[in-house]
Amino acid sequence: MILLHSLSYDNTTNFVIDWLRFFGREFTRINLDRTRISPDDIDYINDEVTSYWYRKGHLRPLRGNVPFPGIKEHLKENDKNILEYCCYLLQQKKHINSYLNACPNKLIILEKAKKAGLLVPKSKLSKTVPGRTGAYIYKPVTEAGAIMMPGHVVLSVLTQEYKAEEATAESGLTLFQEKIEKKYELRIFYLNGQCWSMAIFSQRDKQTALDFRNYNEERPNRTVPYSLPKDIEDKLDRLMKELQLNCGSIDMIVSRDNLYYFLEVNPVGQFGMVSMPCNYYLEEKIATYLAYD
Amino acid sequence: MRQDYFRFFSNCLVTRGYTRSVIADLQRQHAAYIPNSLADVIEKLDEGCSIAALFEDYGHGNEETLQEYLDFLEEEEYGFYCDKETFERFPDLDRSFRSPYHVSNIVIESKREDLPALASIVKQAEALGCKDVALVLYESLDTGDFQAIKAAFHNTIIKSVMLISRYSSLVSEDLLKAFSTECERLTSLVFHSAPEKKVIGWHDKILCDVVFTDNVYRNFSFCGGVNPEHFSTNLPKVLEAVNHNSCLHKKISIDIGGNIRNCPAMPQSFGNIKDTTLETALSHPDFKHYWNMSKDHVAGCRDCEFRYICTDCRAYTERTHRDAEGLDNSKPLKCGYDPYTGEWEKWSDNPLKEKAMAYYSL
Repeated sequence: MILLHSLSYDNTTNFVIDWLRFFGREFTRINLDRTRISPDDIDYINDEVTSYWYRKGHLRPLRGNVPFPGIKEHLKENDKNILEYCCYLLQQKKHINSYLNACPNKLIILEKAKKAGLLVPKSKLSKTVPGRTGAYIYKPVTEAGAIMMPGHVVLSVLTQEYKAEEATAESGLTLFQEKIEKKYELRIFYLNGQCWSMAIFSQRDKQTALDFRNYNEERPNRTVPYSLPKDIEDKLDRLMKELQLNCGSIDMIVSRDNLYYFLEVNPVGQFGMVSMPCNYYLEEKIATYLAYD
Repeated sequence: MRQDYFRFFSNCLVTRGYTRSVIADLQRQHAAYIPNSLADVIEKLDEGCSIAALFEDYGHGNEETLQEYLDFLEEEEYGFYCDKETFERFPDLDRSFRSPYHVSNIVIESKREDLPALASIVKQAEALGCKDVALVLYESLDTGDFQAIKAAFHNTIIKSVMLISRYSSLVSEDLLKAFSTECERLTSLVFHSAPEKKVIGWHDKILCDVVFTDNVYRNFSFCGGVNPEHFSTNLPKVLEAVNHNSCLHKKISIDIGGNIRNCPAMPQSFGNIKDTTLETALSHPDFKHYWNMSKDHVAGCRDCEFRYICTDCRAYTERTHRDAEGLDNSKPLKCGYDPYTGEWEKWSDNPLKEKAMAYYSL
């Protein structure tokens, strides 16, 4: 039995399931936004599960009503360990990703990327912009692209260019990075040692030049298949293995002088927007990995 | 870095026709005409010809035109200037087509009295991976019929339902709102024999497209038209058309008498749904005969610049050609475009089509 942990609204999971059905393979999809895990799951994991895909979502144990804070804290700790144990058991099966390794630390990843031989933009955690000259961008160190506020207000959390006139009060520690003049950016899907790359021409359009998620609906940025140089693929492989990730979506920038800069990796990121435009059949690749030895 | 080369974007497909070519922009879902001479230039660029070599090849006197062509391609974002190293980083698009369905779509011609059996047919289609359903009725429906249809699709993997039925006074805005909201998989409603032509697009109250046509549909001969309005330049549809028959590939259908066919108007029956399952019909050795007949194999169409973005029809053809396996690979009857002149005309006015029209009683 192939076990899938996902969210009820994740469409990519639907496409992978289409392939699993086509292959005639049995699967169970658990939507973590609708279901909590229970102690019975451990037997299920040991006896039934043959391969596992952690796609998205929070693993939360069943929780009854506990009136006493002391006991509640104790049980919380108890649950945390059981959860960790479940994740460990699932890692022993053929798997793609893991809940406990879904959001690796962005700052640590930048360091490991450098160790793997990749170029990264000069980065500094600072309360003010690090230098007097040169252009800088600043970005969050979380995954979130949007924050839900009361009253149906959505705060967008995208990369911004630092503009001196916009700085008013001193900020908290912010990640500043040197702004790389890009030729185009890359979105790369990595699975088990292989890379599938897509180039995004976001530079020509002012709206998307800094963060291509600021989508231009009228004249979308060109998104086309790309072939990474072998040495870059090897370095990415080295990094992913060091991060103990066998799957993820990687963002890079190619500068005007053909240098490759690593930006970040998201193990549970979207890749449908790489798969479809480039005709890569990534959902089929995932289903094949889960379904066959 | 010297920008000595020009890379045409791989998600734009150039289709050569006899009189001109088309660039099908698969990403932006748009098609544009270009002269065949520009198609030649793009081919050379794709082969890795540098800009300097291109100008040298074409020689004196052609520089202005060549520069115009390159300017056009750059302005319309069909390509970009680059150095050699970058040029080599951009591969061609993989043009294969694979879908995880044994059957992707089903067309069901039905009588009102057969609607109670719809649910079990839908279950059979589901088991084959079917995602898209077209349900065609020549009668008008009452509220009981709409309920039966809604129930047949409830909790299924079907992702789109197109329902074609006869207009009646029951079809009110309230009915459309209620039905389109309750039947979640409904994507399109078509009412024929309506008092006037009208189109209501999807909006916040009516959650599907609604089309009213004043044409009277009595049988499946309403289908099979080739019309630029229905051309589609989206990547999966185009790649399916490049590799397979864009109408019949992975299609199954049940006609009004319950016979299982490639489409309700195709001649061969593969059994009746009363005593044959869809799966059994699908496994008949002849069932998939037309599935791989792409337009490159069809007479006339193989020289047409629209062949990967238009529709096809194997049921109503000009009946002029058969291929080596005896399959009908004539041009669709209801296409009024002549790729050899580049002109459109009303297909039914063409005297060469009279014999075929008589054959089909059109």
